[in-house]
Amino acid sequence: MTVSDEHLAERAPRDRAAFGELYDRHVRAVFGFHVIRTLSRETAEDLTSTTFMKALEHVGRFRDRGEGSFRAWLFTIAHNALTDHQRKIQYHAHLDDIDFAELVPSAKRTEAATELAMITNALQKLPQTQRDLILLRVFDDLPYRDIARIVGKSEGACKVAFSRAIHDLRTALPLSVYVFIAFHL
Amino acid sequence: MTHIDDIIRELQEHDPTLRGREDELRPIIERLLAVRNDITLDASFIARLRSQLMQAPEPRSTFSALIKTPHFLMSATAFALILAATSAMLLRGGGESVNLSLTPATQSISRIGSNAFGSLALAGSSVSATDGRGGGGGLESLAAADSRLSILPGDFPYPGSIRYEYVYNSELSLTESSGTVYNKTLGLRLPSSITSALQSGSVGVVDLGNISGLSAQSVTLQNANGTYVSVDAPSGMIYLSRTTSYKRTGYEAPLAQAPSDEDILGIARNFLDEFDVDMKGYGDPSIDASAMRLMRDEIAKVGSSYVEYVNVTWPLLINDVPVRHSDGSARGVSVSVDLRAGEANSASISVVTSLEASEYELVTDTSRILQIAKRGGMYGWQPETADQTITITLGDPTFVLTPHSLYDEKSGTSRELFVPAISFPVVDTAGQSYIQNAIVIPLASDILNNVADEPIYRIMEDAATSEPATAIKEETMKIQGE
Repeated sequence: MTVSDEHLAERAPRDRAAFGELYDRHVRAVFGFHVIRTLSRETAEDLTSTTFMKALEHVGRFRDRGEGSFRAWLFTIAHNALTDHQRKIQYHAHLDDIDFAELVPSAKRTEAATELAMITNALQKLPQTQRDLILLRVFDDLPYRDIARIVGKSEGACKVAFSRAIHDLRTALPLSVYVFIAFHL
Repeated sequence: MTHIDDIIRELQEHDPTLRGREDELRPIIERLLAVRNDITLDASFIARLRSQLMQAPEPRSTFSALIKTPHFLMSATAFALILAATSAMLLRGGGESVNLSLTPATQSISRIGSNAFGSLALAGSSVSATDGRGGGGGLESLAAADSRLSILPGDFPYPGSIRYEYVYNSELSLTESSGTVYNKTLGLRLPSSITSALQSGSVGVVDLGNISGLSAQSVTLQNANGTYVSVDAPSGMIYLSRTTSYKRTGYEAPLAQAPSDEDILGIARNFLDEFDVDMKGYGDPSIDASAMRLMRDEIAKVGSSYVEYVNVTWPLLINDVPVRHSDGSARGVSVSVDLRAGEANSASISVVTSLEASEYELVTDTSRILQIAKRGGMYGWQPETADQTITITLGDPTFVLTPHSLYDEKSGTSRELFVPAISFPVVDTAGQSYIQNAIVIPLASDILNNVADEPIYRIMEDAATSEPATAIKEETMKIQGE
């Protein structure tokens, strides 16, 4: 019998083990959120730590606010932590400096790293808001309702903006990369 | 229609120029889904962060303000000095190897009446979160192996829509209608000398000497050489890590040959010996079978492997019975061996020193057990439709104990129980890179009577998170104060 995230989040302020369970469930997704946006394992680990520390500090509010999706709430914190980080460093790594192989240590490393590099390169050409939407929908696999909460727009507006982003990518990308970005429509 | 067919259909609805290109799209989708699966997370980082979160103080509204004051900085320095003095009591030896003599885990077990912990199936209970390992139990157990962690967001579809069929080809006989369930009452207790040292003077602006009944719950120590020790007494978890001499370049050459089991075991044992870890109370070691299988398959097929870490585990013993999580991984001592460095750089140790024991009814209906085993365990899930079916062969089972968290709504606290279970090892994976090492099924009637007869079918839209369409207000959802 699996306890829902929302139930655990309600218990978390007085039951640290409940927060630990939430951590176990979401740490990979949060790390994935940060690593695909920073392209640095070390930075992603730091931001993952920041995200969960803030979540622990504010989890009492989650209960009080009656949120429908703990995951959306957690990703909002992750999104804010990333924004704060980017504002502070004011540095954007050149794609040529990124070691994609460091992020993908598997048997299919070369192929996967190449595709990851192509996807990242294509996404860099998009405006920040479009890039955000695509990553939240495709890599983070969040429904539009949760994306709307994170970026502060209506669900309908997010869907329209996503479609426009896909349209902009279509003519500029190899089929393989376009399909990956578009498949979660 | 398969899940990939649905994806193709939606793509074609969005972009009509893709019609007629199904044969081209299908392998691309499969391959690109695998890219996301390939991004891995470091197991020691997961464990370390979890420990920090479990030890973090209770959130206070004035905490952020306090941390910026000069008083806090001064008190932090004073605290560090006290901690350094305290650590001298725990550490002996020096140089590069830190000899840390830890209290041996000698268990005290108190027998109490039957069904003493109430129903094991109360709402809010859950089977076998992988405590301290950072892995998820249940639905995430397929990706919970520390040696090669994959990113699996909760709703992420399994690449290629694979269905696993589990086969057990022997007879099964269960004769015991009752068994012992254990309740952990104490993980570890830190020496009272730590509390005494802290209470002997002020810690910054707080005079601990005026507060009665204090006892240290957790401590973190580290030295300038990069050795890190974290002890969390209530959970009974100890984390050890250190910097290795091996310098990673960011691109690690693949291995052309898998190291021998003896070599890997030797590396893990050396690490534990350096920390003087008392291994009484733990069972026989095993190397992560799924990681080794992956490594050997890769070397056989392409001549090299990129597997970087392999875990060696020793299961905690309770009354001489090993403890295993629902995915078969050991709850006990886990050492992470870096195959490039030829060293181990981290370990997690689960300690239980005191338990209560109570008798509970067990299931003896073998058909029920086999029904659950053949679908992949308690939370085995299957894709609604599958492109491929892979047969996983299970071997003869052994009896184990499996962790079971029981939440009490009235007190708002959780118990950690250890429940009799049966563990079916994975002995053949039909040549596929299958991650799970065993299927562990609890035998307590309370638990099994609440398990659904059918496996969980994963569909495109997760019904647990989707809601009927409602109007969404346009407001900025920012966390206040950040």
